[in-house]
Amino acid sequence: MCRFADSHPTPSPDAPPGRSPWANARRRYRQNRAAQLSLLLLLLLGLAVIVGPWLLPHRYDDTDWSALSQAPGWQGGHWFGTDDLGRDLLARTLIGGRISMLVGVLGTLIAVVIGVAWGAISGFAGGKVDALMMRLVDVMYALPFMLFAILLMTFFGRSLLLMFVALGAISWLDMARIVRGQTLSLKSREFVEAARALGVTRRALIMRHIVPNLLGVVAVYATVTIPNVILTESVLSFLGLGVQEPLTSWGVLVQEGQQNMSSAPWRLLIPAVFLSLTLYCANFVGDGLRDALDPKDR
Amino acid sequence: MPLLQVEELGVRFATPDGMVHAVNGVSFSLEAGQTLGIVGESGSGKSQTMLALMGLLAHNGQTSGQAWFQGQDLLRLHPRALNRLRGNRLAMIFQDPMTALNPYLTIERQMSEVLQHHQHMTRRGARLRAIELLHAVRIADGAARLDMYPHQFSGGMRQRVMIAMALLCRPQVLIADEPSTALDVTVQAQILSLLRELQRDFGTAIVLISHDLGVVAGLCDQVIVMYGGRVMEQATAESLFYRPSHPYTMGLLAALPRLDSDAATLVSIPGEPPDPAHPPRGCPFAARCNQADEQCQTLAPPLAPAPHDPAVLRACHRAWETWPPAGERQHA
Amino acid sequence: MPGYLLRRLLGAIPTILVVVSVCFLMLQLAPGGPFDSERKVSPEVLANLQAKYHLDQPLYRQYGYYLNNLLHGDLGVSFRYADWSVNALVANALPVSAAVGGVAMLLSLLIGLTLGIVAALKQNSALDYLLMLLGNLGSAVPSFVIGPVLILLFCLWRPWLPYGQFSLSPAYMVLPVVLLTLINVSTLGRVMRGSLIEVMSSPFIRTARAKGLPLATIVLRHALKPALMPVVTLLGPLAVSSVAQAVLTETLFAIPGLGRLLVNGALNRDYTLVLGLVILIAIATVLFNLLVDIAYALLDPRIRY
Repeated sequence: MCRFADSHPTPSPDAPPGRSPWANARRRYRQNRAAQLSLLLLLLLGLAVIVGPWLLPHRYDDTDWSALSQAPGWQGGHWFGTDDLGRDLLARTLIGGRISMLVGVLGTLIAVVIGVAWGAISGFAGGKVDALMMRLVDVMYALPFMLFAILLMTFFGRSLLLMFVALGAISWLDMARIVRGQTLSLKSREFVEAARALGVTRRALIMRHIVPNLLGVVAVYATVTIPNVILTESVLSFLGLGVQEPLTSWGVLVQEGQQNMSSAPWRLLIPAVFLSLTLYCANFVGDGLRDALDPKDR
Repeated sequence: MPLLQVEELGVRFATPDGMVHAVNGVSFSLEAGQTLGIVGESGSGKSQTMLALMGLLAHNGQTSGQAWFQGQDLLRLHPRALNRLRGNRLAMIFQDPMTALNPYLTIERQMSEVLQHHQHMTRRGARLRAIELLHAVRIADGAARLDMYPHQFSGGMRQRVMIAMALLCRPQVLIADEPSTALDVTVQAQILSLLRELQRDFGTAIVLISHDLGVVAGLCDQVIVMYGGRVMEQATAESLFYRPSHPYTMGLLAALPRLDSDAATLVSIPGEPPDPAHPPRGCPFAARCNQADEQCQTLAPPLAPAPHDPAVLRACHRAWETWPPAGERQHA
Repeated sequence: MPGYLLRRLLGAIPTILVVVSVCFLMLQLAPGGPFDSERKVSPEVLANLQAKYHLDQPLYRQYGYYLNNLLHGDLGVSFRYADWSVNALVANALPVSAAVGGVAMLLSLLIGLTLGIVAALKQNSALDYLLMLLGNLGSAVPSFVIGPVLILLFCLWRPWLPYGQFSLSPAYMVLPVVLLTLINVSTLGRVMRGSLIEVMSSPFIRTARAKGLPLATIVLRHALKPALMPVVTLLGPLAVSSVAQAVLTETLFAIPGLGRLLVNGALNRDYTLVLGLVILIAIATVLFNLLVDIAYALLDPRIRY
């Protein structure tokens, strides 16, 4: 009889320490320099648009008759120049940023609410209900968002609230799909079955077991949705179908800039840079989060 | 003059986590018409050895050593020269026939192109030859099957198609990397017996890579046992299985469950294979070998003829003067 | 294959019906309809509306007329301009959009796919990084930012190209086509690159290499078809997003196409025009997606058999 069966196993010398999935995700995210830098920039931008307008010498709707269509410079305190009504461009850009970001966040919030509700119900219910709900999602997916945004804005006027609703209403599809997928996979996981076997009520099941596991995925996809909503709002505003005076957003500012491109190119470039930078950074952060949580999902 | 002569072959991969050494100095030779089996556990480097010869390593793979085939060193050949040999004089079939065939092309296209490229046949001529080979691998109705797609075949048939495709140009060497592992047991037996017949009919030398000792025992004249990127033992199949002379080989054989033993527990070799990123200085098996001494830990034993039988090569410091070694019993 | 086609066709019908029904319901919300009594509508328009939509009939009858009109290809009448039917407006605008969009799409495919293939084959080289950087930029910076910058560069600072109006001549078409192509090339290129890289590491490519085939044969015969699958899948959403792109581009460059028609209709509160266009574009999108599905089946034999 061979002696191997009696030997003691030799311990492997340098077994790597175990790592939880969250720790792995955090590590991957930290290694993503682009995402970290982008997050920092975003926070700075967010700070600027929230706090900035209070710190500036000029308000966004103050007309300065002595400085009409002034190029960026140091005089008069109009660092980014002014528009043809003498309004300070820096202030307007920051205020516009407030609206753009607000729309982005709130529109995403609505998308999250609708999407999570739709996806969770669909996934949890299963069967025919699920099939029908997802079919509706497929139908909506195949149609151009822009059309319906334009349709909604045409018929229902242009209030800020409507803007949130309209944008949220066309952005929830991805969220619903993801949430449904997660719910389906969670539903059949052992710990849910175990909880069921222990007699946990359905409500407690959803609240205590399913929702916490959804939070991660929802957070990631919300982060990815925000730049899309900002972009859609900017496009609508650019077309003239967005927020109305006296409010302004980056899209409106870019449009005004575009109309006056030949005489005052800074009116185009400055809001354009702010907008592009925000979108670029938000995309990196969203991608970074998504990669960190699921590196295969590219 | 051996057909294929491999000397001190080394394969390593440059990864972000450091250099990974998959193969550390493997040497063997292959004669014309011979069947050679390469046995080892996952990670022993057996596949990488043959992939290196065929020039199919990943982008970050580097080779060292030499591999002589018909007067050329395969490891240093220009890609175009290597392409003249691959599929032509040297052929390889892979483990999973499901993914090894292109699902978007018909069988006919995948087979004809080999003949069109290497032997400049016309499409029609190639088609006829392909049908011949399909017949040789026992696929009935070859003509109709040719125009089908891989997903229309069963697993066993797909592997036969792979074999037929490999033999189209009558290669001198056929490398079979775990050809039956992905198939179920009855089909496995068919494929192996097919290989045996084809070897007889076509005179091709076969290198059979497997982790399954039974598969190798059934088919191969010579067998190499690999561990930790090195060769542990090389002998004829009969010598290896009936008179193993390396602790690792003996451990492998002991671990095979037997119908006629009434042992309550399954035997396994305790411990784990060495980390290819940090290959041990001495014998790779030293950590798990209960015969190991200090010399084994620090100095890698050379592959040398065994004292009791010079036809057997073993890489072990512990000498067995006669066979069986004193105090050791073996399975009959 | 015919069975597959039929099934996809039948699947598309509910989508179209949903769109049409939603639009029909929204029609009821337009002034002059039963829900709105504030806005004044000109008598000619009102007469047109009555004749076309039978607004005095019960709802289900109206729906019937509506569907009937659509089946005959009648998209309705304009809400603002008594002389114009939606069809007439579309007939004027469609060729322009088709010309600009068609050329752009063709160029995008040619350039995007070629760049993607080159980048994949020369992975991690300087060329690859450059292409990927451009690609990222093209998809992150919004087109209504790139567009004006292009105009700034090529029309205003250096008066190489005309600006302000539009006609279907090369000089006027260059910038809008470039803009549309830039955006699509970045997406197509990235997807093609990623897809080809993945395919080139498949087991069956290893088999092809083991057979001693030259690289060109391997890429063109073995790798291209599977690598194109994600690209084909992409064409669907690309078509959907190109609606938005067209709208923007046409607004920017004053191109009298369908996009600008839509936007002007929205700004003018031309409800029926907007509805008619929405239905038209939605149907076109659905049909395009159907074509994409068919292309998919043609490429992948596993779907067909």
